[in-house]
Amino acid sequence: MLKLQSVVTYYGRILALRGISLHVDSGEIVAIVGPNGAGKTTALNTISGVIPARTGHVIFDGEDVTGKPTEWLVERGLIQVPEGRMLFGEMTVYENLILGAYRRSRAAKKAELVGDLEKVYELFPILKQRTGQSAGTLSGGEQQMLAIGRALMGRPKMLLLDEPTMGLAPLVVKEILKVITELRKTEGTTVLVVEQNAKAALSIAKRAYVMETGRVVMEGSAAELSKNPEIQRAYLGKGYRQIMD
Amino acid sequence: MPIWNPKAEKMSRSELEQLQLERLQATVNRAYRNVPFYHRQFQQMGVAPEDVQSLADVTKLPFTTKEDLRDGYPYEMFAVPLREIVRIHSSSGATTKPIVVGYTKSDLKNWAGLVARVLSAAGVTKDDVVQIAFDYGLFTGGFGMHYGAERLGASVIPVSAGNIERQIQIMQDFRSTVLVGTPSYALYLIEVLDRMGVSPAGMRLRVGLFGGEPMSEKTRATIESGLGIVATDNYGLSAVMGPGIAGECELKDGLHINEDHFLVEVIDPETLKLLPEGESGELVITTLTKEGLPMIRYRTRDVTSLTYVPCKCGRTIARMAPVRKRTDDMIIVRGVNVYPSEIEALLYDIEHVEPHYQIVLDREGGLDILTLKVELSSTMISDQMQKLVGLEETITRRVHAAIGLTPRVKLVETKTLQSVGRANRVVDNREN
Repeated sequence: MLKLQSVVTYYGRILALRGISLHVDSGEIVAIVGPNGAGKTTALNTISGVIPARTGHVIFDGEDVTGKPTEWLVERGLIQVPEGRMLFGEMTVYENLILGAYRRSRAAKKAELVGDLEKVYELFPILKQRTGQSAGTLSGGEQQMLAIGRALMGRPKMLLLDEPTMGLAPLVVKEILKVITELRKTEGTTVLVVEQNAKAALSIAKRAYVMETGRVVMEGSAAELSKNPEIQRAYLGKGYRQIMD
Repeated sequence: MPIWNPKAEKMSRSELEQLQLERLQATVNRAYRNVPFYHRQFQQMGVAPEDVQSLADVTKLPFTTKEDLRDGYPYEMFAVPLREIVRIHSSSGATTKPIVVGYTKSDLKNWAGLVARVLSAAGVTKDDVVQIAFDYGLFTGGFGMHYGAERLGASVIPVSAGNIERQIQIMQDFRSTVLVGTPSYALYLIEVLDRMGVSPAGMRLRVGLFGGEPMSEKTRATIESGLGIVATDNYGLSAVMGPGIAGECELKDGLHINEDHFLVEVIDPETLKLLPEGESGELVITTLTKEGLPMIRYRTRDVTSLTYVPCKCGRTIARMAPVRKRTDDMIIVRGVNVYPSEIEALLYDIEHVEPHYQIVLDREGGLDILTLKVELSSTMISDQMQKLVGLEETITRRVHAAIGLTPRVKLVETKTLQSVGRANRVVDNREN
């Protein structure tokens, strides 16, 4: 469904992506893990068109979409849940969710939108409870659910999730991961998730790419990568001592 | 015809190329960062990892040769800390430094899977009893085929090479159905069976996988009729991994290359330029998934040609023609790689002989025989029988120490071999 070929992206003069290639097949959950500053968020932002690629190609659903504007991609089902959620804090849960369907609103029938909203409430019952509350008053976990719910209102073929577990308590992380897995199972949503929390990401992904300083340095099945000693040491918190024992 | 990994072996070319690009870039990034040799090479050539933007850009990268591996003896070419290397193999060679190869746990897992593919392509299944007649030890052939056969679920007998009577005993008693070894060992086996009056019809052998040296169609036919089996060719080399790089399917129409793990090119050995599909030249391999010892554009010195047309077996991975010759002067005697230049080098160190020699290869009783003709110096007074015998013994011992094979040594008169040119240093009488 998604292919990147040697994508190079600059932030002004700063070279953030040094030619990365990856792919996500339909129905897969693929993760990008790596340390701070590796370029993971830049990768998602390049895919979604927020920052244009300098060179290289982004191919979505067989079409070269490099340089296409974000809203164009949203209409075609490529939806990003940004880092830090970026909710409209002053608006209610309901209003935030509805906005997620903005690009569809003219073409879609009202009944469809109502149906989609119901689905999101089913997936995240707590959002139904807080439907009239301002998004800014929700807890971290609830905000993340709202952000995902908002994305779902756009009827995504593919979700780009940027650090969905950041700042969340372990139990909440578990819930979020469960939801993502559910989405894939029930809706067949394809997911590309970026995470500093490699353990979380590798627990739900089928395959993963490891990025460091703008490059992909390793790729493989999530199962294999989580057993890799270098990954374990660098990203899974297994200390040097433990490896030697 | 069961395909071990249909997802990989029947992948569409565009999917395969995307995967190869991703893996090539990751490999180049890792090699550049972790292997001082590659870091230096890249800098010298003015190439950076980001210059690899497409598969075609692999031609911008430096080559790696056996000499580079030798110079890196023992661990300089490894891309991971030694504690992550869980297996170390080495090639033969005593006068020149051997090459050392290392594997991580993940590398070993991949290796077994790739050999399983090759075995499966030859028609081996988990119901087979596989007799491995490759040496177990530093050589990658034995262990490589072993773990692949085990992955397949077959019953593996790690017999090793040598002791032909025991080999036959086991073949009969253990009801082996698959033989893995070198073609020359198979020919030897046929000779001995004949001598012993044992008919292969009484045995359960049905498939053979032969590698480690070239197998001509004539040899294949001899093996197939002599043992009553289907004989397939497979290809591998230690520097790149070992067995499992490529192997024939039952259609025997080229060796399927595991392209999702190896990027292959065929180059002109003189100009070093990439040759188009179908043309014969030197096989160059870049590993795409190896962690312990990634290889970038390794020059194999083996001559072959490639085809990307999908095989009728359904596999879409490229095929290479069986390797029948080399670009250098290396010869293979009883499965052992021998460089005539190695022999020449040690002759320089022996008194009373000139470094003028001729290697004559024959096959007797199914076994390769290496006769080394060496020219005496004029300083040698040849009427001293004892001295001559001593000299012969010295040469025999030194050659054995260098290559692991015992030659028949023939001392010849001064100036009789001087005129023998480079091209005639090796006379190969074996019908291969």
